Amino acid sequence: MTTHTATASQTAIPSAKTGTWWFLASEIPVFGGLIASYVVLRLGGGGWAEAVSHVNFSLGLVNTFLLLTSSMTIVMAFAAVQDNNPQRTGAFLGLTVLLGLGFLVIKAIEYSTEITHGFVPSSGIFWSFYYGMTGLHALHVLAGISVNLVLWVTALRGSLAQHSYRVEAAGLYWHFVDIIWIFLFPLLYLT
Amino acid sequence: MGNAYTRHYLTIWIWLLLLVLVSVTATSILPKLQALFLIFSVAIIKALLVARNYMHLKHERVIIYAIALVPLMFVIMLCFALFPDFVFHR
Amino acid sequence: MTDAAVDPERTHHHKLGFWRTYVFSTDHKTIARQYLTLGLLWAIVGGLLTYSMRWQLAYPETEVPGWGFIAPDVYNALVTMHGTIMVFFVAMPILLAAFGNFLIPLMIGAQDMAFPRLNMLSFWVFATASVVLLSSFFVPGGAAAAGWTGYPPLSAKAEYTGVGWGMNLWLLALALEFASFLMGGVNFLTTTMNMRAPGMTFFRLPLIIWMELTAAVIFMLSVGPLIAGAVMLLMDRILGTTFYLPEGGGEPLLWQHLFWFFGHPEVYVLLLPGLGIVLEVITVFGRKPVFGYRTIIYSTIVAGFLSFIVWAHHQFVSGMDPRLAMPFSITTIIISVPFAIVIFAIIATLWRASITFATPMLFAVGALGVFIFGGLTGIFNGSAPVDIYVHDTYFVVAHFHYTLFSAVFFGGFAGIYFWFPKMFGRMMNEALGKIHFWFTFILFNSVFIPMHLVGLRGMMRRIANPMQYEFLKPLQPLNQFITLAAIVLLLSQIAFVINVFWSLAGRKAAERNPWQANTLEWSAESPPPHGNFATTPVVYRGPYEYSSPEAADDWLAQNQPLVTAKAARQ
Repeated sequence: MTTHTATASQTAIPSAKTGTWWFLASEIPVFGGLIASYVVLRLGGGGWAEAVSHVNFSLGLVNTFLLLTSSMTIVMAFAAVQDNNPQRTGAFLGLTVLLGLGFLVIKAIEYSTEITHGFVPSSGIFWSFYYGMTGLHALHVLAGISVNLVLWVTALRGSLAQHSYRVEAAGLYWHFVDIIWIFLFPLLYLT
Repeated sequence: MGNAYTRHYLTIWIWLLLLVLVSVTATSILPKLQALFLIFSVAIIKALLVARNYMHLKHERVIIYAIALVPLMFVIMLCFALFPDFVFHR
Repeated sequence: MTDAAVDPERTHHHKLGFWRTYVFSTDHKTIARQYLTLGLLWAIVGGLLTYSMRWQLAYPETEVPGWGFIAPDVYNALVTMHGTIMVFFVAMPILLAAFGNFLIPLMIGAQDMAFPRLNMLSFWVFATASVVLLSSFFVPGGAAAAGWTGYPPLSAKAEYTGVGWGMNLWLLALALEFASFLMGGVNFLTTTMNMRAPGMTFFRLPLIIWMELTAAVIFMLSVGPLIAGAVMLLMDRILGTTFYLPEGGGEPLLWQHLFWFFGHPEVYVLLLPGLGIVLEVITVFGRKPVFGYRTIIYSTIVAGFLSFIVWAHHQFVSGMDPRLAMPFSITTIIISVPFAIVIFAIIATLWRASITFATPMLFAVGALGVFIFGGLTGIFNGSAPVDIYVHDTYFVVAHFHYTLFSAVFFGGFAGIYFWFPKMFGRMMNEALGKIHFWFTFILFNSVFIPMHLVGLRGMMRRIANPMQYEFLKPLQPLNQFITLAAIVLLLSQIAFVINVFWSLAGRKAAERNPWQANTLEWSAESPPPHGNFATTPVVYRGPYEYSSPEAADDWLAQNQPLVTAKAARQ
């Protein structure tokens, strides 16, 4: 049976896009719940400022740049696939994957530095949230990288053209992950 | 089609980077409360820029907006509902 | 898309092997049957847990026949797992996954779901969750024992319950179950939005589809904070974080809010499909259009929205800010209004209908009565002043068994008896069905009406031995009566089990439309083949044109072109 994800559409919004948005709608309360918990506990209790001072602001800033840029590169990949330009599509998807990997590498460096300095998940309520929020986010980044990697390989083989909706769907997810970081960065690094 | 969009996406990217710099400098030059207000307003603006331009919400139908906005509303409501127990009582 | 020619794609048989046809199938009907089977198997497990719990309560500290002696901490595990299994591994798979998967493509006139492979993945993730939960019984320390609500600090530290891996596996099983149903929700919503047959507008959809969709939306928007909370709880247990531990700056009450923010909408996720089944059955067996089609839809949507702002009525005695009690009491009372509207619409549908009391109809009317009873006690529980006295007593247990049983048991069985011919191509035995209904109905009320009394007289929930409390000793005869009735209730389900196997083994095939119903699934074969319909149906009207003056019969299928009287004369 042929797949009919992008064609049989009564409301003229392709199924892949509709499905991805419903998925994102369910993910918003996951991070929303974590962030809301962090916000209320932080506003309610003192003594977090000391712990916060030990996060690595510069690395957090670099990660912010990496993720924002990767959002740009993936939407460029989408423009390229709609333009029927497989080389540009592949190039931008590859860049997106690399930037995402860069994010994870830096996160790993941050974690290992923090752990060797004795700031582990059990070090208190701030660190519980820090590891919880950035950890869950990093897992989502990893999932996104995997999807983008598969798309990159498909693009290199030249067979991505008829599946432009897949790039759009992957892009939507990737932008969502970026938006979460847009909030996590100030919450954890700038306060 | 490609060129018009790519210029637009690049423009948005420049804005995003600038806004990050604004947030970062705010922490050093503004007093605490103003800095916090600015930083989170900037975060909301950045999120809106990504959502409207990169996620194409600007061109999407109302139903897609609804799918994105309704859960966000519920989450914000949950956050405020938690204030009495955790912000006012600790 | 008004293609009425036969599409060769639909009739071409893909010769897939045994594994791709029956195990790793992407056909929504097979997946639905898989969910139904697994859900019913879990119901047996849940029932066995009920048996041992009730025996322990009636005859504390005696050996449960066939089980053995139950220590108090084991009793806690039984209580916990009974709740978890019934809500997440019986009710959800049967009402949402099985009926939703089976009915949605068929009732909207589609060949399959929008994402068939995602559908298959969702079942196998659920099956994995089942294995994980089952394994938790057999690890050292036993199964989770902190209640199905898993409140910390009890649930956050292994040394408080004595349960180590059992609790971690419980969290993992729930996480997998949530992932499975989120995938299912994406499928349900996208399919219904995008793949309706020509002429099938939203306001011509059968009400069960509206109910399944609303339930899917409610589930998808409410489960997130609990996923966050569960991640936090798992981290507390495994990584030593202190989200819920006061000694580390954490807040145990936070879990309660995160849990119930999901927990309350979840009960409506379970209720709505049950109500949808009742609506489908009563129109068919009453030969009458539904009363207030759009009113029911709008009330359901309003109730769905309200369900997100009532959650703290589960926390009136938790020590939360007392100023939250009044607003949440008010919203809880308000939410009874849209549901009352739906119930009145159901009653009005039955009013002056030409009712045939076949088994599905018996269960549907039973569901209605049981739900009204449960809804009424809900009003008491939802008001903070009353709830302060009845919280954590058996009054609450009686209330939610009334509401849940109505949707899951009575609604679920109404659906199974109704759609069995379509799902399996065989009719079920009417006599056995009626026996099943009457025993279930009478014994269910025998179990749970006295339970209200027991609760109001002060018997607390989750205690293994009521006899340790002087003031509860006079209640022992009632507890024993409840246990006896419960055991007979469980045994009565054998009538259903026998009926299933008897019917499946029967030689006579079911017709396409044994109930003479209007909705699209009845125009497909019993059971429908891969691809469902030989040609794409075209829809001309809504689903409830029964006893229509325009039709010769007392039913008029949705995809039946209308021949005008003038054309008929020619």
